[in-house]
Formats: sequence, structure tokens, C-alpha cells
Amino acid sequence: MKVFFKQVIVVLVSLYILLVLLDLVYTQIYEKPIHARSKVAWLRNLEPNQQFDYALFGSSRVFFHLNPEQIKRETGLSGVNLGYPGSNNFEIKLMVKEFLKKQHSKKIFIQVDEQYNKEYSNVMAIIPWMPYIKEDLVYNEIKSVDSAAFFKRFVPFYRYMIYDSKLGFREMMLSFFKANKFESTNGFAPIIGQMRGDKSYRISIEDLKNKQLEDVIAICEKEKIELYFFTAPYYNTQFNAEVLQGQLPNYQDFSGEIPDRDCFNDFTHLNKKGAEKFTSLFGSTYFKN
Amino acid sequence: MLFNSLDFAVFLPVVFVVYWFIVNKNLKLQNLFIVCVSYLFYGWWDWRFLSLILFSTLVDYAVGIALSKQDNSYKRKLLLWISVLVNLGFLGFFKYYNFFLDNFVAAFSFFGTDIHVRSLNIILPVGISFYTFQTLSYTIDVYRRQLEPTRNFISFAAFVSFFPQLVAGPIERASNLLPQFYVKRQFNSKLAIDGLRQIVWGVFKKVVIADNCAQFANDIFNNYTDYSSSTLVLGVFYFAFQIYGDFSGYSDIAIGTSKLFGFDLKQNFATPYFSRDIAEFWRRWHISLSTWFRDYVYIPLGGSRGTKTNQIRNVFIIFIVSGFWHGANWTFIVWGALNALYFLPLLLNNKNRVHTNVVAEDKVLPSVKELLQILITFSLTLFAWIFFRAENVEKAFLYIKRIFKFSIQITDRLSLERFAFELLPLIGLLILIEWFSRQKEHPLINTKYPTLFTVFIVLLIVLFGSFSNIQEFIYFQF
Repeated sequence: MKVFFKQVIVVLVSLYILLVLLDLVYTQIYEKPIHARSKVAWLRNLEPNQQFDYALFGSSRVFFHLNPEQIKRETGLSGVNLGYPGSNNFEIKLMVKEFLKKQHSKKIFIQVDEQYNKEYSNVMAIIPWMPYIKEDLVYNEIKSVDSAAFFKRFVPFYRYMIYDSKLGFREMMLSFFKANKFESTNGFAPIIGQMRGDKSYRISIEDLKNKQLEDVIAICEKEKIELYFFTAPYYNTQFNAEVLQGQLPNYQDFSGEIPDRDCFNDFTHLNKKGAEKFTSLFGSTYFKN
Repeated sequence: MLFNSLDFAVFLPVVFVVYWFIVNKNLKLQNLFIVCVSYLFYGWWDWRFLSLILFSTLVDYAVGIALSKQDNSYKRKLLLWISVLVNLGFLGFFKYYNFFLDNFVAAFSFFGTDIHVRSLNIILPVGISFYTFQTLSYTIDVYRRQLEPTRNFISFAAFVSFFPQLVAGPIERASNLLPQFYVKRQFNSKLAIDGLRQIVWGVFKKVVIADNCAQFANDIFNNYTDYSSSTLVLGVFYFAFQIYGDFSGYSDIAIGTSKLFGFDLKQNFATPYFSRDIAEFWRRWHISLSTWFRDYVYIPLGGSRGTKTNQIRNVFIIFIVSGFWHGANWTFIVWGALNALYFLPLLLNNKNRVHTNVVAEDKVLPSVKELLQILITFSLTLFAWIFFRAENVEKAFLYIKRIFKFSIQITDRLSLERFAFELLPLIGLLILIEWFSRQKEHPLINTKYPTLFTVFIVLLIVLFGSFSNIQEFIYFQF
């Protein structure tokens, strides 16, 4: 029996050492990647202490819709698009906090939509934060919404194993030689596609405060940053925007501003043509006066 | 409870400690404990179907004892038929009822008569095809007077429900496993360490090879109309290694787990993709099922004796029944029939037992001839896997038709963005490791640096394992 347990212990100890080493290597690579593959890694590796005129936060409905390069051409203002797919209010708050650690902006714009009532994290959108969970700021936030946060922080390599398809070997290796598609466009990537079908949609949100967004409002007040909320265009959708009008400061509803079907990839996402139109509209609404 | 689940990772050490430190004083206690934990293991999935296992156990135990007391050949046959009907009755109802019903209705409608019969919403009990065959083999062996029936119910219940191999085999023969329940198990470090290493190897095949291949094979088979010929071939290749890694991985974990408890189960896979012809492939793939059909169906039918017509009939029966055992779908029947067609020329030319030894025995590399034979056999197997994997026969033919369009599209699956560039080298590594250990039960046994090798495999599991996409073992559905 002793021989057997000795063998088990040797394998388990070796495994633990391997996990610790791998954790160190992976975390280091995600900290300083040659190519930042996620929006979070990209933000963390932006040149520090930049002064932006504005910063955009939100989900894919910011990522695919607003082109800072176009706004710069049209208004001369510099900005950054920090939206990424799946990002809910919780991830938006994390992103705002991370942004303000090293960067400065006069204005912050946050896109809100049918996800407005959600206060928890998005299962996919939280993954890019996992390499940094050992940092107290990230850990304390994630801990508040994820009961397994403790294991993800303290069990070495656990987070890279359970999120292997997004943070595993393949993604880690790609960070050496495969650039993301938003690096050269200040965070914007258009969708090339055309909407199929022609249904109408109805979105209804509850008239409640959102804790995550309230935190963002408090942060911006403290930092004396102008904060704006807006809703990006939907296709043929009824949306009770008056709720947001009442709950959020400086709210602007663009949900019905682009009615053309050929500007959409699907009912929630504009395509490249639609993104150009919306970026122009966005720039003229906020920056041309 | 899945072998690749957290539940099992807790279950196994707890059961191991209780088994060797608390109930190890007494054989009865050891066996009773195995029955209890086996029922717990199975009940974790669905406790309602425990009654099926218990009923099957009671019937075969009683039939075994009754057979030992009966000399009248008519009554003995009757007893055997009771066991066969009960076991195959359960199997037939749970697995094949809707299939026969649907085909019955389709046949009537083909001849112009519409009948309306409602199919039932039946849940297939996990492992029913495996434990049913295991208990049947006991009754048949007792009937043939090849095995003394047991009078120890707990031992028999432990034999039927033994948790490592309960849900997906290997289908153990009573003559091998049952006697192991008659003697108190003493802890054997060498056997247990070997078992541990075999588990590690099985987990590697399942989590690294099978589950990673599954993601791509599933996507390609489910969306085959979007892909080029080259990608469809890649899809079958991935499926071939998915099903091999999945099932042989399961068998390794089952056999390894049994070794931890002092049991020695029969080898279920012996590097089948290195086979030089289809006959050899079937001696190396799912050995416990192949030998079951050989001993209880093929040989009683006359086997390779008798007229050519009988030989051909027997080959088709054995392969089609074997295909049908896998599931109530015409795809499995076609898969079986296709293998019969592959096998027939060998049988008719008396060449079905040419390759009984391992390929390139005691050599490092195979000869060019052997390599060609391996590649041809593997290609035939790949072709047959299309039917096994496809949703239905029509889709299988459409998949094949698209392959023969000979279009090559690198970007749809081989582009860096979508292609798992580490997967093909990993499959290559599996082939390499298995090649150099093809004369052994598993690669981590009798190696020069076994601990280092084990740690290396653990490293591969940690690095490349598919943990976010844990797949159920394919053979659970059979």
C-alpha cells in the first residue's frame, strides 16, 4: 500500500508543480502578449496615460457599431471603442474601472439595451478577465457575482483549464502570431453581412435601477467625467426607452434611428454600412456643436 | 456518474479508502460494498432503472440455480429461454420498440395502408446493452455446462453491477469475472499502480483526443453541406479518433479502476487502427463484444464451417446483429453490412486468420506492404464510420457524394482561426505512442521511466484537455 500511495503522491505533487508553473507562464503571456487577442488584454496593454476625448463602453452593439477612426476624421476628436461581445453591465463596470486605472477621458459613453436589467456577469464576456483574477480589484468584483471565483483565483491553472477553448493552449499560442481585428482601428470591427428575414421585435425592460450602472455613475461623478448613456439602433423593434430616460443621466435613444434593412446584419447588429451611418449620426449628435 | 466528472473524482477515492481500509476484513463485506457502491454509481444517473438491473440479476441468478438442478434437456432449454426472453425483452422494449414500430408503420404505408400507432417516449437505460449481454453470457455458459452456477447472490449481484464496467463494458464473461468475487481481494500495489496509469492513459484518450475531435467532427457532420470534400474527409478522420479515444479511453479507465480494487478485466481494444485487414480489425476493436457475438451467435450458427452459402449468411448475420446492437437506426445496420462485405472476401479465400499476431512484431517499423495494408484497412474503416456517425442513411450518402466532388477548401477548416492546429499533432502523438506500445496492454505499462511518462501524459491532459466541452461517452447511448 505504501508503494502505491508513494506513487499517487509523486504524481499529485508533480501535477501541482506543473499547474503552478503553467499558471505563471500563461498569466505572464496574457499580461504581456505580443498580440492582445481580447479587448481586456488590449486595454491593459494600451500605452498608459493617454488623454482621450471620449471612450465607448458596451457590448457587440458598441464593438461593431462605432468607429473611432471615422469620428476622428469627421470631428477631429480622439476616442477608443472598448465594447466587446457579450459584455453586460457588470463587465462594463469592470472595463470602466480598468480604463480609469491608467487612461483619461473627458467623456464616457455607455450603450444600454435589452440587457439593462442584468446585474450579473455574462458567462462568455467574463472569460477575458480570468487571467487577471489574481489582482484584488478584479477578484473582488468577480467574487461578488461568481461563487467559484475563489477556485479560479487560488487553484493554479484551474481557470485556464475550464475555459480551455477561450484561454487554453490554442488561444495562448495565437497571441504570439495572430493580431486581433481591432488593433488598428482603436477597438472597432465591422460586421460584413446582410440581414435575412423581416420580422418585427418588441423589447421590454423593467423600470428599475441597475446596481452596476449606478456604480459607474458614482465613479464618473467622483472622477468628474461626463457620462452619457445611449441605445444603439435596432431593426424594426419597439423598445420602451422611456424607462432608461428616467433612470439614466444624459440618455439618448438611437434605437429607431436607422430604419434601412440593408444597414443590418441581424436585428440587433448593424453591418459595415449601418455602422458608418450610425457613427456619423453619433458624432454629429455629441461632438459637432 | 461520468468517469470524467468531478463526482467520480470524489467517488473513486472515497470508495477506494473504504474498500481497502474498512470492509477489507471479510469477503462478503467486500462484495456487498461493491454492490452498494455500484448501485449508487448507477443510481446517480437515474435511480429508477436500478430495478431493471436488480430484476435481471434475480432472474439470471434463479435460472442459473434452476439449471444446475435440472437434467431434462427440454426444461433446461425452457429455463434458458426465460433468461433470454427477459433480458432481450427489456433490451428490445427500451431500445428497439419505437424503431420497429416506425418501420412497421412505414412498411404498411409503402403498401398503401395507413395505420396510426403512437410511438412511446422511452428513455434508454444507460448500459442496458452491456449488462444484459453480461448476464446472458452467464446463463448460456451455465446452460452449456461450461460454468458452475453460483449460489452466492451477493457475488452474482456484484458481477452483474460491478461499477467500473457497468455502463459501457467491457462485457465480461462470468468465467473470468465471477470467480474473482469468490476470493477475498488482497491489495496488490503493482496491480493498483498499473491501474492508476491505465486510468491516466484512458483519461488522455478521452479528454484530449476524443473530446477535442468531437468538437470538429460534430460541427463538420452537422453542417456537411457547407464544407468541401477535404474538410469532410477530415471530419471522418476526426470522428474515427473521437470514437476510438472515447470508447477505448472508457475501457482503459474501467479496466484501470477495476485493478485498483484488485480485479483483472479483459483487454477491450488492442490498437485496432494498426490492423492489416478487417478480420484483424474486428479481433482488436471492442474485443469483448466481438468475442461475445462470436461465441454465442456466430459459432452456434455454424461459423465458418458448412457450405459457402451458410458461411456468407453467418457473416452477414453476425455483422448486422452487431451493428444493430449499437442502436435502433438503419445507419448501424448499413455499417454492419458494410463490414460484412469487407470481411467476406477474406473468409471465402480462407484469409481471415492470416494476421493473428501484432503487426511488425519485435520490429521498430512496419514493412511497406504492412503499411499499405494498414492504410487500406484504415480507409475502409473510415468509410464505414460515415454511416455509423451520420444521422440517417440518406445523409450518409449525401456526405459521401460531397466527398466525391473532390473539392479542396483550405480556409473552411484548415485556416488558423478555426482549425485546432494542435489536434492533428496530438493525434500523431497518440499514434506514435500506441505504435511503440502495440505489444502491451497500454503504453504506461512496463516502460523505462513509468512515473515520468505518467507525469508527461498528465501534463498533456492539463494542457490540451477539453474541459469546457465535456462530452458524454458515446457508448453510453448504446
